[in-house]
Amino acid sequence: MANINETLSGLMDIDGALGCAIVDYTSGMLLGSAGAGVDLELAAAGNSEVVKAKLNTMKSLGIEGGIEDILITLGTQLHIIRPSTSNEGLFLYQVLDKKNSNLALARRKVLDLEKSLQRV
Amino acid sequence: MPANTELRDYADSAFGQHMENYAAIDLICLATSDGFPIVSRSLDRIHFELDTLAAASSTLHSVSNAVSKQILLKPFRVAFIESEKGNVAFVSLQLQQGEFVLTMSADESMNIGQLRVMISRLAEQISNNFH
Repeated sequence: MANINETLSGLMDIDGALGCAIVDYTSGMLLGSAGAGVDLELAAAGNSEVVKAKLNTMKSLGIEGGIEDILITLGTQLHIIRPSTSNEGLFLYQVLDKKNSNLALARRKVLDLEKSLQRV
Repeated sequence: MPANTELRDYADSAFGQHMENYAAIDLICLATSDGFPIVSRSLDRIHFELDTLAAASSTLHSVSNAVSKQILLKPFRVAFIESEKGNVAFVSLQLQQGEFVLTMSADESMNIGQLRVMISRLAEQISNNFH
């Protein structure tokens, strides 16, 4: 099992990683972050709204179960948001340089890191 | 309103576990919202009279509630004090025994987001057993 810093280190080892964070989406606060390329504090707060909006939409549509991950493709970046199963209310956030990364591989690695994240 | 022995013992045990598991936590205290101390745990280097701490927590609770009700029209839930060398969090607790304030402080190795998660979980744990 890995702690916050070990998980962040693992996320930054992914090819094309620009920045990463572990976020409490109930408050929008960062529990930890690494890298640059984007204002991670702002991204944490903003992406918390993305997660909450999706959860609310699922609830209003009567869709059961949780979110496994959210993949966002931008012009020059890829973003991966993965809620934590061991820590309710938290998600892993990964920012990748589109040119230097493989989304499928990155998604897989984020999944593995999320599974090994210990209870904070 | 004095809390019963069961609450005090439960909180003392829970606080002890947290202090053991998280080296960054300096102090955890449970007090009534009107300033009576129930139980606290702190590191040896923290020199703080329990009565003083309970009074400070109660004052924070009272002020936070007043401000929150004035501006947001709702009672406060969590308040933070961020300093250069650490943070303190206060959570309002409604239990069957009455109204309480839970206080947790941590050094700078635990950021405010982590502190919030810690104190929220502890508050929920106590609430679930004494609501």
